[in-house]
Amino acid sequence: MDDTSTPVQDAVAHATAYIPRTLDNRLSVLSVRMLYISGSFFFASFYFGLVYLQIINANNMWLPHGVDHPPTWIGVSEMALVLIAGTAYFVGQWFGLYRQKLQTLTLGLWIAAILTVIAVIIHIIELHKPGFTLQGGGYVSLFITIEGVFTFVLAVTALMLIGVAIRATKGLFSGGAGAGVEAFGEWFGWISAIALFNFLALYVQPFFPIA
Amino acid sequence: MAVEVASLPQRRSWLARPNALWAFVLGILGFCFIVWVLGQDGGLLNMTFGLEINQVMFLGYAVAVFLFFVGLGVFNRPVKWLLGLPISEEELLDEYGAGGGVGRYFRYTLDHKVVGIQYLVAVIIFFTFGGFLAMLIRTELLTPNVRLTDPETYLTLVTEHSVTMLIMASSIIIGPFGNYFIPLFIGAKRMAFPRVEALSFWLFLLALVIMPTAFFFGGSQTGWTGYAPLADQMHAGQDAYVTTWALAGSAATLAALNIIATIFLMRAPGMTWSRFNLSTWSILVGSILAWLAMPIMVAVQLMVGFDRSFLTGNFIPVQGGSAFFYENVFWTFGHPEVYILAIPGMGIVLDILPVFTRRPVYAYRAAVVGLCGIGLLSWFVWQHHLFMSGLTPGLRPFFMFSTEMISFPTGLIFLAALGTLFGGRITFPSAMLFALAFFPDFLLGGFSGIFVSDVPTDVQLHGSYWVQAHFHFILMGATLFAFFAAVYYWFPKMMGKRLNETLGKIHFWLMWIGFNGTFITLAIVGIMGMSRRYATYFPYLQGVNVTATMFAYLLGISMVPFLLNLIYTWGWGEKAVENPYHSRSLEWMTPTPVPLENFAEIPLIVAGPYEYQPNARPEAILEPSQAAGGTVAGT
Repeated sequence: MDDTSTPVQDAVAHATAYIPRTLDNRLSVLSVRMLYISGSFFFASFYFGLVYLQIINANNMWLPHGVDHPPTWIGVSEMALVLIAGTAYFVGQWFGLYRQKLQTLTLGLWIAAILTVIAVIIHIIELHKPGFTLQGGGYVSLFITIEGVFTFVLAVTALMLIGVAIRATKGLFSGGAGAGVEAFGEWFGWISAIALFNFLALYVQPFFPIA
Repeated sequence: MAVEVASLPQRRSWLARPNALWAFVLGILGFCFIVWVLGQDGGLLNMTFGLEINQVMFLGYAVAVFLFFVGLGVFNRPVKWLLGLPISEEELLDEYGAGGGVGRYFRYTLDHKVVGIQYLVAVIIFFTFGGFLAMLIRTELLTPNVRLTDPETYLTLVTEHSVTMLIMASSIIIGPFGNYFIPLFIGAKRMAFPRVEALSFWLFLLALVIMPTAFFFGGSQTGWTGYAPLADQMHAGQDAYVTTWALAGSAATLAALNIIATIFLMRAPGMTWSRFNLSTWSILVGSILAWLAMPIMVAVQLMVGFDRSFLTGNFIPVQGGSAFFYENVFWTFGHPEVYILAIPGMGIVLDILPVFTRRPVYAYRAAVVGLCGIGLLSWFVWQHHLFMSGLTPGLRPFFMFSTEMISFPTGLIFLAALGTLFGGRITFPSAMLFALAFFPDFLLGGFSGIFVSDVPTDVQLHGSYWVQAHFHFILMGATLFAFFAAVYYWFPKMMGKRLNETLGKIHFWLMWIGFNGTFITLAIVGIMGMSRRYATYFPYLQGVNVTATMFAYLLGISMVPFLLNLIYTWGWGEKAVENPYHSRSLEWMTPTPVPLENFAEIPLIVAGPYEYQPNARPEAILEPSQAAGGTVAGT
C-alpha cells in the first residue's frame, strides 16, 4: 500500500479483496486484545461480587441452607461446548491458515459456530429453569446476573463466528490473509477462558466457601 | 491522492439514505410501541409474557437503540461483512462524507473530523441543557422552603443535571478534540477504527437523549451516583439512568480503544513518544482510564438492571446482596472517572501556554510523568468516598495517604505551567485566558479536596456543600475552562473562522467571576452546615444561598456571549489564516479546511512541537519522504 492512498481507497481495498498489510493485521489483533482486556475488567466486577458477598455474608444470605445450583450437567456441558468449540477453532486456524488446508479452516469454524450456538441454547435453558428461586441469596443473584450477561456475550460471539465461517466458506481467508481469523480466534480464546472461569466460579467454588 | 468531490457519483437524496432523522423516528416509534402499546398493564407483553414495568422499560430502550442504529445504517456494513458481500467504492466514499455538505453531520459518517465536530455540537447542546437544569436548582434554593418544585422533582433535577454533565464532560475533551486532532497531532491520515469512532459518538448521543426520558416515568432521585439499593427501589425513571450509563460507558470504552490504537500504531515516522505534544499524552492517559474503568460502570449498572428487572438481589441485603458491593465497584470506576474528565484538560492547557508565551514547555518529561502518575494513582483512592459509610477503620489511613499522594504528580503539572510562563512573552487572547484560569480553579479544587480526603475533616464535611463545591472546582473549573480554551484555540482549524476576541473576553470574565463566586460561596455554605441534595434548608442559610444563586445566574449569562459569538462567527466571522498563532504543532501544518486524508503525504517528524527558540526547525517535513522507509502509518 503506498502512502498516497486515501482512507476510502484503503477501506475499499480492504473490503473487496483482503490484501495482507502489516498495519491492518496489527490493528485487528490489537483491537481484539484491547477489547478483551476491557471485557476482563467488566467480568472482574461480577467476580469481585462473588468474593465480596461471600466474605461479608450479609444476614447469612450468601448461600442459605437448601439452595442448590442448576443440574451439574448443564454447567459442565456449557463449559465443555465452548472449550471444544475453541479447540475446533484453533485446529481449523492452525491447519487451515498455517498449513494451507482451507477446507479444514472452514470445517473447524463451522463446528465451532454450531457448538457455540448449542451452548447459547443451553444457557437459555439454564436461565429459564435454574432450579432455584431468586430469594436464594447472594449466590443466586450473581449466578443469574453473570450467566445472563455471559449468555448475551456468547450469543453475539456466535453471530460473529457464523459470519467468520461464512467468509471462510467463500474463500475470503488464506494463509497470507487471515488476520481476521487470528484476531477473532484470540477473542474466542478469551470467551473460552471466561466460560471455564464461570463454571469454576458458579458451579464449584460456592460450595467450598471461602468464609 | 486527494478525493475530487466533482468526481463523486450522484447519490440518492439525504432523506432517502440512512440518517439521524430516520434513526430518531424509528427509535422513538419503537420505544413508544413497546412501552405504551404492548407494555400496558393488560397489554400483550404483560398478559402473555408476564413482563413487569421495568422489564418492559428495558425492552423498550433496547428496541429503541436497535431501531435507532437500523435507521442510522450502522448495521449495513457489518451485515455485508458477515455475509461476505463486497462493498462498492461509491458506498465507502459516501460513508466518509467525501461529498461534503451539512448532511454528513447527521449521518453515520466515518471521517474523524466530522465525528469531532458532531461531538463538539452535542457537547455544547447538552452542556446548555445541563446548565439550564442547574439554574432551576439554584432558583429553587433561593428560598428555604420548596417553591418551584417539590422535593422529588428537585432530586430528579439534581440527577438529570449531574448525569448529563458527567457524561457530557467525560467526552468534553476526548470527544471533540481527541477525535478531531489525534490523527493530526501524530501525522496520520485517519483514525484506526473509523466505524468504531462513529459508533462511539452515536452511542454517546443516545445516552444523553435517553436520560431526560426519566422525566416521563417518575424521574430518578438517586443523584449521579445511583446508589443501590435506593436505585433498586426507584420509579421506572431509574431505568433511563441505568440504560444511559450502560450506553455512555460503552461509548467511552470504544472511543478510548480507538484513540489508544491510533496513537500506538498510526504515528508518522519520526513521531517518537517524546515528540508527542502534551494534548496527545493527556488524551492517551485519559483514554486508558476510560478503556479500563468504563466497563466497570457498565457492569455495575447491568447488575442494578438485573435487580430491577429480574428481581435479583445483588445489592439488597435481605437477598444476600450488599450496598457496600455497589459502592466499592461504583467508586472503582468513579474515581478514575474524575480523571477521565480532568487529565485531558491538563494536556490541552499545557499545550496552549507555550504558544502564547513563545517558550517551550518547561519540564516536559516531568509533566508526562505527572499525567501518568495521576492516572495510575486514581485507581488506588476509591474508598475515600466511603470514609463515612462504615468502612473498616483500618483501611482509612491507606486511602487517605494514597489520595493525598495525588498532590505530587499534580504538582509536576503546575511546575510545568509555571516554568513555561516564567520569563515568557505572554499574550492574552481568549484561549490563553481560559487556559490560565484552569490553574487557580484546579488548585482550589485540589486544596478543598485535601479536607475531604483527610478523615477527621471529612467526618465534618462529608455530604455537605463543601464537597459539591470541591468537585465543581475539579470538574468544571478544570475541565470546562480547558474545554473553552480548546474551543477558542482550535476553532480556526476546525471551522475555518476565528471567534470574535471581544466577545470571547466578555465570555471569559463573566464566566470566571460567576464560576468562582458561585462555588466559593457554596464552599462557605458547606462549612456553615448545609447538606447536599435537599430542596430545603434552615432560614439562616438564605443569605449565602441567594448570593450563590446570583453568581450562578451570572455564570449562566456568561454563556450568552459565547453562543452569540458562535452565531456571529458563523455568519460574519473573519476567515482564519492557516496558522493564526504561529504554532509549531503539526495540526497547524495542514490546510484549512483539513482535507479528507489530512496530509497529502505522510509527514516526516523531525523535531518536537515546543521548540520556540529563534531559527528552530519546523516540526515536520511535509513533502513525500523516502526516509519514512517501510512505515505505512496512517494509510
